[in-house]
Amino acid sequence: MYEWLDKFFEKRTRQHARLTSRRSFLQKFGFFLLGIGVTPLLPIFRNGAFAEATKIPESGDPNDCSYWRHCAIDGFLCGCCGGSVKSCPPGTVVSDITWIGTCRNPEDGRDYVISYNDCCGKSACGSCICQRDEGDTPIYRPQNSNNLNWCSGSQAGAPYHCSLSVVIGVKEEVSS
Amino acid sequence: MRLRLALISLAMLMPLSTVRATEPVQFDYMMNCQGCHLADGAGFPARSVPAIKNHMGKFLLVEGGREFLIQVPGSAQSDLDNARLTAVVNWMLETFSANALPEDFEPYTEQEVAGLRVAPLVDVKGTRATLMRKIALIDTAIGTTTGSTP
Repeated sequence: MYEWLDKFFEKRTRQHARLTSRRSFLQKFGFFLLGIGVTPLLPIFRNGAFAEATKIPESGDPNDCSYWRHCAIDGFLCGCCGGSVKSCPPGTVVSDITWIGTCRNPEDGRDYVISYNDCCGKSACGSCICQRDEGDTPIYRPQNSNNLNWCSGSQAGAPYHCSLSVVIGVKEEVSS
Repeated sequence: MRLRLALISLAMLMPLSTVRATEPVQFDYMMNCQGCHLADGAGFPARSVPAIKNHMGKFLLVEGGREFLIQVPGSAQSDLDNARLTAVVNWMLETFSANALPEDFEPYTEQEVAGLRVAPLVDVKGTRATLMRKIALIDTAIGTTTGSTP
């Protein structure tokens, strides 16, 4: 049995050595790396993958209230609650219905469209409260008021946990 | 060969170096509508946010529907001026509801929108319910004449 196994692997190894060049692994691995880099460029529909597909100039700490994307936020930063600036912590569900506004990126001076989705289904996180409310309107103009519990518009229902700041677009620069 | 490969890779990476701006009409949709009606117009019917997707165009098939799409508070009371509101509503019809548009669909004009916008709806829910009943009647009529194919 072991002799057979030994022979089998010896044969395979010799065959492999005979048929491939010493550096073929490097070549194949190189193609693999190139492939990883090129795959996101293929024209596949990726709904809401704006932030992942494009390179946004970044600065600052996403878990700090002064971070540029949080300009109109009102809530706890999910990055301090076990999630990140664009993903909900485990055990919570993202609210699809949300508050959308723009924030100016200090790195390139452009206005980015930010979606402040709430993460819902667990009681309030309590860490990193951030209330900047820029562009917020009073509750009698509900379209532009962020002082709502957006979790009411999610599958999970009312318990609010924390808020995300997801980039979903960028405003066209007006040529002056 | 290597040079050519390098050039091709460079050309492919070029679009990544700057962030491409969102189409202005889509930007207006994002800022004024998408928060509730969602990126694909699916809405959230379970929580009273009407679905636009595959449905919005049906309003143009029934009497009063064309007016309703502009007079509904989400349109009429938005921060958009008449030109931009016209562009967004036409864009929504063509983007989310192309399959439900009437064959003789004519896009809204700015003058039309301006006129409708200043005539507010008194009973939004009632008007909508009436229109939805008319749409449902048309849907079933189409279903019977075509032998209701699945």
